[in-house]
Amino acid sequence: MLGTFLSKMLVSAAIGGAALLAAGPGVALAASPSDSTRVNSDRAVASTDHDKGKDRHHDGKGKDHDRDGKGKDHDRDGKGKDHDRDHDGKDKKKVIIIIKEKVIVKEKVIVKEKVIVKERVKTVVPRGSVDAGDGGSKQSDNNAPATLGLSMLATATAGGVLLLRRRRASGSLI
Amino acid sequence: MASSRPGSPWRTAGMLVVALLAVAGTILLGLPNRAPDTIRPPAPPALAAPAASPTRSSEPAQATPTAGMSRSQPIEISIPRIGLTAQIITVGLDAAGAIEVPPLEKAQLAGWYKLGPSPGEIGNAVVVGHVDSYAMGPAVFFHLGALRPGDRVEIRRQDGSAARFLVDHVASYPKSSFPTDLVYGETKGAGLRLVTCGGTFDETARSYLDNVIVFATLAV
Repeated sequence: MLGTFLSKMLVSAAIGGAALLAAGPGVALAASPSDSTRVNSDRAVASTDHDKGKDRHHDGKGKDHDRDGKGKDHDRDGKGKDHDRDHDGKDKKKVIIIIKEKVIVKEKVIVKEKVIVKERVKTVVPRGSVDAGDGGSKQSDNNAPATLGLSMLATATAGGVLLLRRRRASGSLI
Repeated sequence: MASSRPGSPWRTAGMLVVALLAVAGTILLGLPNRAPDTIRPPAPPALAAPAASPTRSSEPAQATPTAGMSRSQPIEISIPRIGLTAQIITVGLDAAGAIEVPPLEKAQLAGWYKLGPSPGEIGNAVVVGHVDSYAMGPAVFFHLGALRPGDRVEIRRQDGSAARFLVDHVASYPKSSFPTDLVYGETKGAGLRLVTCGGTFDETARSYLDNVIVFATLAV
């Protein structure tokens, strides 16, 4: 009983192992589309025509794999998969670069906004007009005639005094 | 009897000369009050201050928006057309709330109104100066009224930069209707307002009746 059971266990383990070995590439292939889907979702952010074309290729590849598990197909797919993997690797780098560019552009926009915004000084408005002159330019030129007039008056006064004294003196001396 | 005295014709001539001197002296003394002034500051066209109509053709054009400069105290003004180069001091408000001007004994200096924008900043920077004073006769802004549109005004600033303006307009306004909004009001660009006295001098009030204002815009 025990021997039969053990032999069954061994056989089932052997079959299971063989099944796992056979299913291994399939599991690997099954993992691959999920990776490509992730990359595609990244690419969707970049949204280029080239990426759209590759999405279609990946889908076709998935269908082939599901349709038949022939070794021939597996080889073809394997080759294609290697090629795609390389290609995917490049695409991933491209996506990262594109994302970086976007960030840089955003930074530039922020910097520009900072330059445009300027502080404005609030003026305290004074009352009335500006009093900036006392007529000094007019006064300066009028000093000369006034001085001359004053000196003439002084001379006339002095002359009048002399004449009056001489008149009095002439009566007594001559 | 008196005519028979010797020397009387000389006395008469002497009296005549004295009388002539006295009359001439009196006339000359009276002349300053009546004679027309020989030195007058150049006068721009007089304008009545606009009440609330900023679209009048006689008004200065709106300043075009420019980026403007940072705040920095002005230290010197130069206006090549009238051969002016003068130091600038800062002025504020007096006790009555009116704008201060440089002291009359320092009438060769211009005054920047520090409670507004500095020359080159966004807004109207205001610089005032005397037209004349007893201490020195014609003062710093005596020839301001001679400026014409397109003339250059340069202001050196404490940060080492220079703000260069172009004159848009020169006008004379009665002090009784001073255009406060045009001088101190907000603008989109950087403007400059140079203000001095002008017009008729009121001997009784010892003050000019008008203000001469130069409107200028920062050259791009």
